[in-house]
Amino acid sequence: MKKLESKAILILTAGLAIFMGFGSLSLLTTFDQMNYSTKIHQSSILLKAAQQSLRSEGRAGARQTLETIKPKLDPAFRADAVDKILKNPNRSNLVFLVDAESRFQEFTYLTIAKLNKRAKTYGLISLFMATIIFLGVALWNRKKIYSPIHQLNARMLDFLNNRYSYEFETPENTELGRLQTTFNMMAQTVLDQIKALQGLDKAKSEFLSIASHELRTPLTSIKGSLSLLKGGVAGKMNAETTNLLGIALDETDRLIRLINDLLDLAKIEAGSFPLEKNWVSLQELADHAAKTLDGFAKTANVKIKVEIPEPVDIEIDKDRILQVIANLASNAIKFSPENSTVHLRGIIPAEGHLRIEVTDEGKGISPEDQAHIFEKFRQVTGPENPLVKGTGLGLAIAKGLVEEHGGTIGVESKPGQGATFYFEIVNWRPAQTQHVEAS
Amino acid sequence: MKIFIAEDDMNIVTIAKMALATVGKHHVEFAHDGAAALEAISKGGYDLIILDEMMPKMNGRDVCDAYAKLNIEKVPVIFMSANNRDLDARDPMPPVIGFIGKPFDPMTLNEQIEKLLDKHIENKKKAV
Repeated sequence: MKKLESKAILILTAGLAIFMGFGSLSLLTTFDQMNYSTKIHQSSILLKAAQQSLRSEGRAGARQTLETIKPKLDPAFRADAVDKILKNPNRSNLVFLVDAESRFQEFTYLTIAKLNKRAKTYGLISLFMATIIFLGVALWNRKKIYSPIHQLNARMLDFLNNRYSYEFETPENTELGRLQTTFNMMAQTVLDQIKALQGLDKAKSEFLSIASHELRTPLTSIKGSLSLLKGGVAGKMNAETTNLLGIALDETDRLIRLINDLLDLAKIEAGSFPLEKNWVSLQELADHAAKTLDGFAKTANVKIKVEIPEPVDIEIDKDRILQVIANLASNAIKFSPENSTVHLRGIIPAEGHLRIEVTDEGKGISPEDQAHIFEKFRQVTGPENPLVKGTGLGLAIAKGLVEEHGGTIGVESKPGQGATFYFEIVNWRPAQTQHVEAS
Repeated sequence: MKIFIAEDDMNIVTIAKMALATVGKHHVEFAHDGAAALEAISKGGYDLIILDEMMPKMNGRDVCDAYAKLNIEKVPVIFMSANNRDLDARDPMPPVIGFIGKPFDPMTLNEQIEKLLDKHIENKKKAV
Protein backbone atom coordinates (compact mmCIF):
# COMPACT_ATOMS: atom_id res chain seq x y z
CA MET A 1 0.00 0.00 0.00
CA LYS A 2 1.24 3.48 -0.90
CA LYS A 3 0.97 5.66 2.11
CA LEU A 4 -0.49 9.07 1.47
CA GLU A 5 1.03 10.15 4.74
CA SER A 6 4.68 9.45 3.75
CA LYS A 7 4.11 10.97 0.32
CA ALA A 8 2.68 14.10 1.89
CA ILE A 9 5.65 14.39 4.29
CA LEU A 10 8.18 13.95 1.44
CA ILE A 11 6.58 16.64 -0.73
CA LEU A 12 6.23 19.03 2.17
CA THR A 13 9.85 18.51 3.29
CA ALA A 14 11.25 19.13 -0.20
CA GLY A 15 9.15 22.25 -0.61
CA LEU A 16 10.10 23.55 2.81
CA ALA A 17 13.82 22.91 2.14
CA ILE A 18 13.69 25.02 -1.02
CA PHE A 19 11.68 27.70 0.74
CA MET A 20 14.04 27.80 3.71
CA GLY A 21 17.19 27.70 1.50
CA PHE A 22 16.20 30.77 -0.42
CA GLY A 23 14.89 32.39 2.75
CA SER A 24 18.27 31.92 4.46
CA LEU A 25 20.13 33.31 1.43
CA SER A 26 17.93 36.34 1.53
CA LEU A 27 18.60 36.77 5.26
CA LEU A 28 22.38 36.32 4.89
CA THR A 29 22.45 38.93 2.16
CA THR A 30 20.57 41.30 4.41
CA PHE A 31 23.15 40.71 7.19
CA ASP A 32 25.92 41.57 4.68
CA GLN A 33 24.09 44.73 3.84
CA MET A 34 23.87 45.67 7.51
CA ASN A 35 27.59 45.07 7.88
CA TYR A 36 28.33 47.41 5.02
CA SER A 37 25.96 49.98 6.46
CA THR A 38 27.91 49.98 9.76
CA LYS A 39 31.13 50.53 7.87
CA ILE A 40 29.60 53.45 5.98
CA HIS A 41 28.45 54.93 9.28
CA GLN A 42 31.99 54.73 10.70
CA SER A 43 33.42 56.06 7.50
CA SER A 44 31.01 59.01 7.59
CA ILE A 45 32.10 59.95 11.13
CA LEU A 46 35.71 59.79 10.08
CA LEU A 47 35.11 61.74 6.87
CA LYS A 48 33.26 64.47 8.74
CA ALA A 49 36.11 64.80 11.27
CA ALA A 50 38.72 64.90 8.50
CA GLN A 51 36.75 67.57 6.64
CA GLN A 52 36.40 69.66 9.84
CA SER A 53 40.12 69.33 10.49
CA LEU A 54 40.84 70.52 6.95
CA ARG A 55 38.63 73.58 7.46
CA SER A 56 40.23 74.49 10.84
CA GLU A 57 43.64 74.47 9.12
CA GLY A 58 45.36 74.27 12.50
CA ARG A 59 47.34 71.21 13.48
CA ALA A 60 46.27 71.40 17.06
CA GLY A 61 42.58 71.76 16.01
CA ALA A 62 42.89 68.78 13.65
CA ARG A 63 44.45 66.56 16.25
CA GLN A 64 41.83 67.63 18.82
CA THR A 65 38.92 66.82 16.50
CA LEU A 66 40.34 63.41 15.58
CA GLU A 67 41.05 62.55 19.18
CA THR A 68 37.47 63.44 20.12
CA ILE A 69 35.93 61.11 17.48
CA LYS A 70 38.43 58.25 17.90
CA PRO A 71 36.58 56.65 20.87
CA LYS A 72 33.34 56.76 18.84
CA LEU A 73 34.92 54.65 16.09
CA ASP A 74 35.16 50.86 15.98
CA PRO A 75 38.75 50.23 17.19
CA ALA A 76 39.32 47.98 14.16
CA PHE A 77 38.13 50.61 11.70
CA ARG A 78 40.96 52.57 10.05
CA ALA A 79 43.03 52.47 13.26
CA ASP A 80 46.29 52.70 11.31
CA ALA A 81 45.17 55.63 9.15
CA VAL A 82 43.83 57.58 12.14
CA ASP A 83 47.03 56.94 14.19
CA LYS A 84 49.11 58.07 11.23
CA ILE A 85 47.28 61.41 11.02
CA LEU A 86 47.37 61.89 14.80
CA LYS A 87 51.18 61.51 14.62
CA ASN A 88 51.47 63.83 11.68
CA PRO A 89 48.28 65.80 11.09
CA ASN A 90 49.40 67.60 7.97
CA ARG A 91 47.15 68.77 5.15
CA SER A 92 48.20 66.14 2.57
CA ASN A 93 47.47 63.30 4.94
CA LEU A 94 44.04 64.73 5.68
CA VAL A 95 43.27 65.22 1.99
CA PHE A 96 44.37 61.67 1.37
CA LEU A 97 42.01 60.41 4.09
CA VAL A 98 39.04 62.42 2.78
CA ASP A 99 39.68 61.09 -0.73
CA ALA A 100 40.02 57.53 0.47
CA GLU A 101 36.82 57.67 2.59
CA SER A 102 34.84 59.28 -0.21
CA ARG A 103 35.91 56.52 -2.63
CA PHE A 104 35.28 53.87 0.00
CA GLN A 105 31.75 55.22 0.62
CA GLU A 106 30.96 55.41 -3.07
CA PHE A 107 32.08 51.83 -3.59
CA THR A 108 30.19 50.60 -0.50
CA TYR A 109 26.94 52.26 -1.54
CA LEU A 110 27.16 50.45 -4.89
CA THR A 111 27.79 47.14 -3.09
CA ILE A 112 24.82 47.71 -0.78
CA ALA A 113 22.59 48.45 -3.77
CA LYS A 114 23.74 45.18 -5.40
CA LEU A 115 23.17 43.23 -2.20
CA ASN A 116 19.77 44.87 -1.81
CA LYS A 117 18.75 43.66 -5.26
CA ARG A 118 20.04 40.16 -4.51
CA ALA A 119 18.18 40.01 -1.16
CA LYS A 120 14.97 41.06 -2.91
CA THR A 121 15.39 38.36 -5.55
CA TYR A 122 16.03 35.65 -2.97
CA GLY A 123 13.08 36.92 -0.92
CA LEU A 124 10.77 36.82 -3.92
CA ILE A 125 11.91 33.31 -4.89
CA SER A 126 11.33 32.19 -1.33
CA LEU A 127 7.86 33.80 -1.25
CA PHE A 128 7.03 32.25 -4.63
CA MET A 129 8.13 28.83 -3.36
CA ALA A 130 6.02 29.29 -0.24
CA THR A 131 2.95 30.13 -2.38
CA ILE A 132 3.58 27.15 -4.66
CA ILE A 133 3.96 24.83 -1.68
CA PHE A 134 0.82 26.18 -0.04
CA LEU A 135 -1.25 25.92 -3.22
CA GLY A 136 0.22 22.51 -4.03
CA VAL A 137 -0.58 21.16 -0.59
CA ALA A 138 -4.12 22.57 -0.76
CA LEU A 139 -4.79 21.09 -4.21
CA TRP A 140 -3.18 17.80 -3.30
CA ASN A 141 -5.27 17.65 -0.12
CA ARG A 142 -8.40 18.30 -2.12
CA LYS A 143 -7.68 15.68 -4.74
CA LYS A 144 -6.30 12.97 -2.52
CA ILE A 145 -8.13 13.49 0.76
CA TYR A 146 -11.17 15.76 0.69
CA SER A 147 -12.81 14.65 -2.58
CA PRO A 148 -12.51 10.93 -1.77
CA ILE A 149 -14.01 11.66 1.65
CA HIS A 150 -16.85 13.66 0.08
CA GLN A 151 -17.50 10.91 -2.45
CA LEU A 152 -17.56 8.24 0.19
CA ASN A 153 -19.88 10.33 2.32
CA ALA A 154 -22.22 10.90 -0.65
CA ARG A 155 -22.39 7.17 -1.27
CA MET A 156 -23.09 6.42 2.35
CA LEU A 157 -25.90 8.98 2.29
CA ASP A 158 -27.25 7.28 -0.86
CA PHE A 159 -27.30 4.02 1.00
CA LEU A 160 -29.00 5.65 3.94
CA ASN A 161 -31.73 6.90 1.57
CA ASN A 162 -32.25 3.48 -0.04
CA ARG A 163 -30.52 4.44 -3.30
CA TYR A 164 -28.41 1.35 -3.67
CA SER A 165 -27.26 1.64 -7.27
CA TYR A 166 -23.96 3.45 -7.81
CA GLU A 167 -20.82 2.93 -9.85
CA PHE A 168 -17.95 1.01 -8.44
CA GLU A 169 -14.74 2.77 -9.48
CA THR A 170 -11.31 1.34 -8.79
CA PRO A 171 -9.98 3.08 -5.69
CA GLU A 172 -6.30 4.04 -5.37
CA ASN A 173 -4.00 1.92 -3.30
CA THR A 174 -3.86 4.33 -0.36
CA GLU A 175 -5.38 4.64 3.09
CA LEU A 176 -8.50 6.34 1.72
CA GLY A 177 -8.55 3.94 -1.22
CA ARG A 178 -8.63 1.10 1.26
CA LEU A 179 -11.55 2.72 3.05
CA GLN A 180 -13.39 2.99 -0.29
CA THR A 181 -12.62 -0.63 -1.10
CA THR A 182 -13.93 -1.75 2.27
CA PHE A 183 -17.04 0.33 1.76
CA ASN A 184 -17.54 -1.13 -1.73
CA MET A 185 -17.21 -4.65 -0.35
CA MET A 186 -19.70 -3.86 2.39
CA ALA A 187 -22.07 -2.22 -0.11
CA GLN A 188 -21.84 -5.22 -2.43
CA THR A 189 -22.69 -7.56 0.43
CA VAL A 190 -25.67 -5.43 1.43
CA LEU A 191 -26.80 -5.20 -2.20
CA ASP A 192 -26.58 -8.96 -2.63
CA GLN A 193 -28.64 -9.44 0.49
CA ILE A 194 -31.22 -6.90 -0.63
CA LYS A 195 -31.47 -8.60 -4.04
CA ALA A 196 -31.88 -11.96 -2.39
CA LEU A 197 -34.60 -10.53 -0.15
CA GLN A 198 -36.34 -8.87 -3.10
CA GLY A 199 -36.26 -12.20 -4.92
CA LEU A 200 -37.77 -13.89 -1.89
CA ASP A 201 -40.41 -11.18 -1.64
CA LYS A 202 -41.37 -11.58 -5.29
CA ALA A 203 -41.47 -15.35 -4.93
CA LYS A 204 -43.65 -14.92 -1.86
CA SER A 205 -46.07 -12.62 -3.71
CA GLU A 206 -46.28 -14.98 -6.67
CA PHE A 207 -46.74 -17.95 -4.41
CA LEU A 208 -49.53 -16.22 -2.51
CA SER A 209 -51.26 -15.16 -5.71
CA ILE A 210 -51.15 -18.66 -7.16
CA ALA A 211 -51.95 -20.30 -3.85
CA SER A 212 -54.96 -18.07 -3.31
CA HIS A 213 -56.28 -18.90 -6.78
CA GLU A 214 -55.67 -22.59 -6.30
CA LEU A 215 -57.33 -22.49 -2.89
CA ARG A 216 -60.34 -20.50 -4.01
CA THR A 217 -61.17 -22.80 -6.93
CA PRO A 218 -61.88 -25.94 -4.85
CA LEU A 219 -63.47 -23.77 -2.16
CA THR A 220 -65.91 -22.50 -4.80
CA SER A 221 -67.07 -26.07 -5.40
CA ILE A 222 -67.19 -26.93 -1.69
CA LYS A 223 -69.07 -23.78 -0.70
CA GLY A 224 -71.35 -24.15 -3.77
CA SER A 225 -72.22 -27.74 -3.00
CA LEU A 226 -72.85 -27.08 0.67
CA SER A 227 -74.96 -24.03 -0.06
CA LEU A 228 -77.06 -25.84 -2.68
CA LEU A 229 -77.55 -28.81 -0.35
CA LYS A 230 -78.49 -26.60 2.57
CA GLY A 231 -80.81 -24.62 0.30
CA GLY A 232 -82.66 -27.83 -0.48
CA VAL A 233 -81.92 -27.63 -4.21
CA ALA A 234 -81.00 -31.33 -4.23
CA GLY A 235 -83.99 -32.32 -2.12
CA LYS A 236 -85.36 -31.59 1.36
CA MET A 237 -82.93 -32.07 4.28
CA ASN A 238 -83.86 -32.89 7.85
CA ALA A 239 -83.05 -30.42 10.63
CA GLU A 240 -79.89 -32.20 11.80
CA THR A 241 -78.44 -32.40 8.30
CA THR A 242 -79.25 -28.72 7.72
CA ASN A 243 -77.54 -27.87 11.01
CA LEU A 244 -74.41 -29.82 10.07
CA LEU A 245 -74.38 -28.31 6.60
CA GLY A 246 -74.64 -24.88 8.24
CA ILE A 247 -71.56 -25.61 10.35
CA ALA A 248 -69.63 -26.80 7.28
CA LEU A 249 -70.73 -23.70 5.37
CA ASP A 250 -69.77 -21.31 8.20
CA GLU A 251 -66.33 -22.84 8.50
CA THR A 252 -65.87 -22.76 4.73
CA ASP A 253 -66.72 -19.06 4.80
CA ARG A 254 -64.20 -18.57 7.60
CA LEU A 255 -61.55 -20.33 5.57
CA ILE A 256 -62.36 -18.07 2.61
CA ARG A 257 -62.09 -14.97 4.81
CA LEU A 258 -58.77 -16.19 6.12
CA ILE A 259 -57.42 -16.63 2.59
CA ASN A 260 -58.66 -13.17 1.59
CA ASP A 261 -57.12 -11.58 4.68
CA LEU A 262 -53.83 -13.39 4.22
CA LEU A 263 -53.64 -12.21 0.64
CA ASP A 264 -54.42 -8.61 1.66
CA LEU A 265 -51.81 -8.72 4.38
CA ALA A 266 -49.21 -10.22 2.07
CA LYS A 267 -49.88 -7.44 -0.43
CA ILE A 268 -49.60 -4.76 2.28
CA GLU A 269 -46.38 -6.26 3.59
CA ALA A 270 -44.94 -6.50 0.08
CA GLY A 271 -45.83 -2.83 -0.43
CA SER A 272 -47.83 -3.75 -3.53
CA PHE A 273 -51.10 -2.29 -2.39
CA PRO A 274 -51.66 0.70 -4.65
CA LEU A 275 -53.74 3.41 -2.96
CA GLU A 276 -56.24 5.43 -5.00
CA LYS A 277 -56.56 8.58 -2.92
CA ASN A 278 -59.43 11.03 -3.30
CA TRP A 279 -61.05 13.74 -1.19
CA VAL A 280 -64.03 12.17 0.58
CA SER A 281 -66.58 13.63 2.99
CA LEU A 282 -65.98 12.16 6.46
CA GLN A 283 -69.72 12.21 7.18
CA GLU A 284 -70.51 10.22 4.01
CA LEU A 285 -67.70 7.78 4.74
CA ALA A 286 -68.88 7.15 8.31
CA ASP A 287 -72.53 6.78 7.20
CA HIS A 288 -71.44 4.33 4.50
CA ALA A 289 -69.46 2.26 7.04
CA ALA A 290 -72.36 2.26 9.50
CA LYS A 291 -74.80 1.16 6.79
CA THR A 292 -72.51 -1.69 5.73
CA LEU A 293 -72.33 -2.95 9.32
CA ASP A 294 -76.01 -2.37 10.06
CA GLY A 295 -77.08 -5.98 9.43
CA PHE A 296 -74.33 -7.42 11.59
CA ALA A 297 -75.07 -4.93 14.38
CA LYS A 298 -78.78 -5.79 14.34
CA THR A 299 -78.00 -9.51 14.61
CA ALA A 300 -75.83 -8.72 17.63
CA ASN A 301 -78.49 -6.36 19.02
CA VAL A 302 -75.98 -3.49 19.13
CA LYS A 303 -76.56 0.09 17.96
CA ILE A 304 -74.07 2.04 15.84
CA LYS A 305 -73.94 5.80 16.41
CA VAL A 306 -72.08 8.09 14.02
CA GLU A 307 -70.77 11.36 15.53
CA ILE A 308 -69.05 13.80 13.20
CA PRO A 309 -68.96 17.26 14.89
CA GLU A 310 -68.37 19.37 11.76
CA PRO A 311 -68.21 18.75 8.02
CA VAL A 312 -64.68 17.90 6.86
CA ASP A 313 -63.11 16.20 3.84
CA ILE A 314 -60.29 13.68 4.12
CA GLU A 315 -57.87 12.49 1.48
CA ILE A 316 -57.94 8.69 1.49
CA ASP A 317 -58.43 5.54 -0.56
CA LYS A 318 -62.09 5.18 0.33
CA ASP A 319 -62.35 1.40 -0.05
CA ARG A 320 -59.28 0.84 2.12
CA ILE A 321 -60.36 3.16 4.94
CA LEU A 322 -63.83 1.61 4.82
CA GLN A 323 -62.10 -1.75 5.28
CA VAL A 324 -60.22 -0.32 8.31
CA ILE A 325 -63.41 1.06 9.87
CA ALA A 326 -65.26 -2.19 9.12
CA ASN A 327 -62.51 -4.23 10.79
CA LEU A 328 -62.48 -2.01 13.90
CA ALA A 329 -66.27 -1.67 14.12
CA SER A 330 -67.03 -5.36 13.55
CA ASN A 331 -64.59 -6.17 16.38
CA ALA A 332 -66.33 -3.58 18.55
CA ILE A 333 -69.74 -5.12 17.78
CA LYS A 334 -68.43 -8.62 18.50
CA PHE A 335 -67.16 -7.59 21.92
CA SER A 336 -70.17 -5.44 22.84
CA PRO A 337 -72.84 -6.61 25.29
CA GLU A 338 -76.39 -6.68 23.93
CA ASN A 339 -78.32 -3.36 23.87
CA SER A 340 -75.12 -1.33 24.00
CA THR A 341 -73.87 1.24 21.51
CA VAL A 342 -70.78 1.34 19.33
CA HIS A 343 -69.70 4.93 18.65
CA LEU A 344 -68.02 5.91 15.40
CA ARG A 345 -66.53 9.37 16.01
CA GLY A 346 -64.52 11.93 14.11
CA ILE A 347 -62.22 14.01 16.34
CA ILE A 348 -61.36 17.23 14.51
CA PRO A 349 -58.34 19.03 15.94
CA ALA A 350 -57.41 22.73 15.68
CA GLU A 351 -54.33 21.54 13.81
CA GLY A 352 -52.50 18.26 13.23
CA HIS A 353 -53.94 14.89 12.32
CA LEU A 354 -57.64 14.13 12.27
CA ARG A 355 -58.67 11.16 14.37
CA ILE A 356 -61.34 8.53 13.74
CA GLU A 357 -62.43 6.54 16.80
CA VAL A 358 -64.48 3.39 17.32
CA THR A 359 -65.60 2.97 20.93
CA ASP A 360 -67.44 0.03 22.46
CA GLU A 361 -68.97 -0.62 25.86
CA GLY A 362 -67.46 -4.09 26.23
CA LYS A 363 -65.31 -5.45 28.98
CA GLY A 364 -62.14 -3.70 27.76
CA ILE A 365 -58.69 -4.97 26.91
CA SER A 366 -55.92 -5.66 29.41
CA PRO A 367 -52.62 -3.76 28.99
CA GLU A 368 -50.85 -7.06 28.17
CA ASP A 369 -53.28 -7.75 25.33
CA GLN A 370 -53.08 -4.14 24.11
CA ALA A 371 -49.36 -4.51 23.57
CA HIS A 372 -49.81 -7.32 21.04
CA ILE A 373 -53.26 -6.70 19.66
CA PHE A 374 -52.12 -5.42 16.24
CA GLU A 375 -49.92 -8.45 15.61
CA LYS A 376 -50.99 -11.26 13.29
CA PHE A 377 -53.13 -14.06 14.77
CA ARG A 378 -53.32 -12.36 18.18
CA GLN A 379 -56.93 -12.82 19.10
CA VAL A 380 -58.33 -11.76 22.42
CA THR A 381 -60.43 -14.70 23.58
CA GLY A 382 -64.02 -14.73 24.68
CA PRO A 383 -66.16 -12.26 22.70
CA GLU A 384 -69.57 -11.45 24.13
CA ASN A 385 -71.25 -12.33 20.85
CA PRO A 386 -69.52 -15.21 19.09
CA LEU A 387 -71.41 -14.43 15.88
CA VAL A 388 -68.62 -14.66 13.36
CA LYS A 389 -65.29 -16.19 14.14
CA GLY A 390 -62.45 -13.86 13.20
CA THR A 391 -59.32 -14.64 11.27
CA GLY A 392 -56.94 -12.97 13.67
CA LEU A 393 -55.73 -10.73 10.87
CA GLY A 394 -58.23 -7.87 10.86
CA LEU A 395 -56.26 -5.50 13.12
CA ALA A 396 -52.95 -6.32 11.42
CA ILE A 397 -54.57 -5.42 8.08
CA ALA A 398 -56.08 -2.24 9.56
CA LYS A 399 -52.66 -1.24 10.90
CA GLY A 400 -51.01 -1.88 7.53
CA LEU A 401 -53.65 0.12 5.64
CA VAL A 402 -53.53 3.07 8.07
CA GLU A 403 -49.73 3.14 7.88
CA GLU A 404 -49.88 3.03 4.06
CA HIS A 405 -51.89 6.26 4.42
CA GLY A 406 -49.12 7.75 6.58
CA GLY A 407 -51.12 7.62 9.82
CA THR A 408 -50.91 5.70 13.08
CA ILE A 409 -53.34 3.33 14.75
CA GLY A 410 -53.79 2.57 18.42
CA VAL A 411 -56.03 1.46 21.24
CA GLU A 412 -57.01 2.95 24.58
CA SER A 413 -58.79 0.79 27.12
CA LYS A 414 -59.27 0.08 30.79
CA PRO A 415 -60.54 -3.36 31.74
CA GLY A 416 -64.27 -3.18 32.43
CA GLN A 417 -64.68 0.22 30.75
CA GLY A 418 -64.81 -0.60 27.07
CA ALA A 419 -62.19 0.06 24.43
CA THR A 420 -61.46 2.84 21.95
CA PHE A 421 -59.64 2.00 18.75
CA TYR A 422 -58.45 5.04 16.85
CA PHE A 423 -56.47 5.93 13.77
CA GLU A 424 -55.20 9.17 12.29
CA ILE A 425 -55.80 10.76 8.90
CA VAL A 426 -52.95 13.01 7.82
CA ASN A 427 -54.62 15.00 5.03
CA TRP A 428 -57.91 16.70 5.83
CA ARG A 429 -59.60 20.07 5.34
CA PRO A 430 -62.89 21.79 6.16
CA ALA A 431 -65.60 20.50 3.83
CA GLN A 432 -65.88 22.13 0.42
CA THR A 433 -69.44 23.10 -0.49
CA GLN A 434 -69.52 20.78 -3.48
CA HIS A 435 -67.93 17.36 -3.47
CA VAL A 436 -66.78 17.44 -7.04
CA GLU A 437 -63.69 15.33 -6.36
CA ALA A 438 -65.37 13.08 -3.85
CA SER A 439 -67.17 10.85 -6.34
CA MET B 1 -82.65 -15.88 -20.04
CA LYS B 2 -80.21 -17.80 -22.16
CA ILE B 3 -76.84 -17.77 -20.36
CA PHE B 4 -73.46 -18.98 -21.64
CA ILE B 5 -70.77 -20.00 -19.14
CA ALA B 6 -67.09 -20.50 -19.97
CA GLU B 7 -65.36 -22.31 -17.09
CA ASP B 8 -62.67 -24.98 -17.14
CA ASP B 9 -63.46 -26.48 -13.74
CA MET B 10 -66.21 -29.09 -14.26
CA ASN B 11 -67.34 -28.97 -10.63
CA ILE B 12 -67.84 -25.23 -10.76
CA VAL B 13 -69.80 -25.61 -14.00
CA THR B 14 -72.06 -28.17 -12.29
CA ILE B 15 -72.69 -25.83 -9.38
CA ALA B 16 -73.21 -22.76 -11.58
CA LYS B 17 -75.62 -24.73 -13.79
CA MET B 18 -77.59 -25.91 -10.79
CA ALA B 19 -77.71 -22.34 -9.43
CA LEU B 20 -78.76 -20.74 -12.71
CA ALA B 21 -80.92 -23.50 -14.22
CA THR B 22 -82.47 -25.21 -11.17
CA VAL B 23 -82.70 -22.21 -8.83
CA GLY B 24 -82.85 -19.42 -11.43
CA LYS B 25 -84.83 -21.28 -14.17
CA HIS B 26 -82.51 -20.00 -16.90
CA HIS B 27 -81.36 -21.84 -19.97
CA VAL B 28 -77.62 -22.55 -19.53
CA GLU B 29 -74.97 -23.62 -22.04
CA PHE B 30 -71.24 -23.90 -21.36
CA ALA B 31 -67.73 -24.52 -22.71
CA HIS B 32 -64.57 -25.79 -20.96
CA ASP B 33 -61.97 -23.64 -22.68
CA GLY B 34 -61.58 -20.15 -24.12
CA ALA B 35 -61.41 -21.13 -27.79
CA ALA B 36 -64.61 -23.20 -27.64
CA ALA B 37 -66.30 -20.38 -25.70
CA LEU B 38 -65.39 -17.79 -28.35
CA GLU B 39 -66.70 -20.05 -31.11
CA ALA B 40 -70.01 -20.51 -29.31
CA ILE B 41 -70.61 -16.85 -28.38
CA SER B 42 -69.60 -15.66 -31.87
CA LYS B 43 -72.76 -17.28 -33.19
CA GLY B 44 -74.89 -15.14 -30.85
CA GLY B 45 -78.26 -16.13 -29.43
CA TYR B 46 -77.38 -15.61 -25.72
CA ASP B 47 -78.64 -12.95 -23.32
CA LEU B 48 -75.65 -13.05 -20.95
CA ILE B 49 -72.09 -14.39 -21.04
CA ILE B 50 -70.17 -15.44 -17.92
CA LEU B 51 -66.40 -15.84 -18.42
CA ASP B 52 -63.83 -17.41 -16.14
CA GLU B 53 -60.52 -15.52 -16.20
CA MET B 54 -58.05 -18.38 -16.27
CA MET B 55 -58.86 -21.01 -18.89
CA PRO B 56 -56.84 -23.28 -21.17
CA LYS B 57 -56.25 -22.41 -24.86
CA MET B 58 -57.46 -18.80 -24.45
CA ASN B 59 -57.97 -16.87 -21.24
CA GLY B 60 -61.14 -14.99 -20.39
CA ARG B 61 -59.67 -11.54 -21.13
CA ASP B 62 -58.63 -12.59 -24.65
CA VAL B 63 -62.02 -14.19 -25.30
CA CYS B 64 -63.69 -10.96 -24.19
CA ASP B 65 -61.38 -8.75 -26.32
CA ALA B 66 -61.98 -10.93 -29.40
CA TYR B 67 -65.74 -10.91 -28.74
CA ALA B 68 -65.73 -7.10 -28.39
CA LYS B 69 -64.16 -6.78 -31.85
CA LEU B 70 -66.77 -8.99 -33.56
CA ASN B 71 -69.25 -7.31 -35.87
CA ILE B 72 -72.35 -8.60 -34.08
CA GLU B 73 -74.70 -7.21 -31.46
CA LYS B 74 -73.04 -7.57 -28.05
CA VAL B 75 -74.69 -8.90 -24.92
CA PRO B 76 -73.45 -8.15 -21.36
CA VAL B 77 -70.39 -10.05 -20.12
CA ILE B 78 -69.71 -10.86 -16.45
CA PHE B 79 -66.28 -12.02 -15.29
CA MET B 80 -65.88 -14.65 -12.67
CA SER B 81 -62.49 -14.70 -11.04
CA ALA B 82 -60.58 -16.11 -8.10
CA ASN B 83 -57.92 -13.42 -8.54
CA ASN B 84 -57.53 -9.67 -8.02
CA ARG B 85 -60.86 -9.30 -6.32
CA ASP B 86 -60.08 -5.71 -5.34
CA LEU B 87 -58.73 -4.18 -8.49
CA ASP B 88 -61.27 -5.70 -10.87
CA ALA B 89 -64.22 -4.37 -8.95
CA ARG B 90 -63.53 -0.79 -10.04
CA ASP B 91 -64.32 0.18 -13.63
CA PRO B 92 -65.71 -2.45 -15.99
CA MET B 93 -65.37 -1.58 -19.70
CA PRO B 94 -68.17 -2.59 -22.10
CA PRO B 95 -69.24 -5.21 -22.93
CA VAL B 96 -68.17 -6.20 -19.39
CA ILE B 97 -70.77 -5.10 -16.86
CA GLY B 98 -69.23 -6.44 -13.69
CA PHE B 99 -67.32 -9.05 -11.70
CA ILE B 100 -68.33 -11.89 -9.46
CA GLY B 101 -65.60 -13.16 -7.17
CA LYS B 102 -64.99 -16.79 -6.42
CA PRO B 103 -66.04 -18.48 -4.25
CA PHE B 104 -69.60 -17.31 -4.94
CA ASP B 105 -72.76 -18.43 -3.19
CA PRO B 106 -74.95 -20.36 -5.68
CA MET B 107 -78.07 -19.56 -3.63
CA THR B 108 -77.56 -15.82 -4.23
CA LEU B 109 -75.85 -15.98 -7.63
CA ASN B 110 -79.05 -15.11 -9.50
CA GLU B 111 -79.56 -12.04 -7.31
CA GLN B 112 -75.97 -10.91 -7.86
CA ILE B 113 -76.40 -11.20 -11.62
CA GLU B 114 -79.73 -9.37 -11.50
CA LYS B 115 -78.16 -6.54 -9.55
CA LEU B 116 -75.36 -6.15 -12.11
CA LEU B 117 -77.89 -6.21 -14.97
CA ASP B 118 -80.12 -3.63 -13.25
CA LYS B 119 -77.14 -1.35 -12.73
CA HIS B 120 -76.14 -1.83 -16.35
CA ILE B 121 -79.61 -0.89 -17.59
CA GLU B 122 -79.66 2.12 -15.30
CA ASN B 123 -76.28 3.29 -16.59
CA LYS B 124 -77.47 2.81 -20.15
CA LYS B 125 -80.56 4.95 -19.45
CA LYS B 126 -78.34 7.65 -17.90
CA ALA B 127 -76.09 7.63 -20.96
CA VAL B 128 -79.08 8.18 -23.25
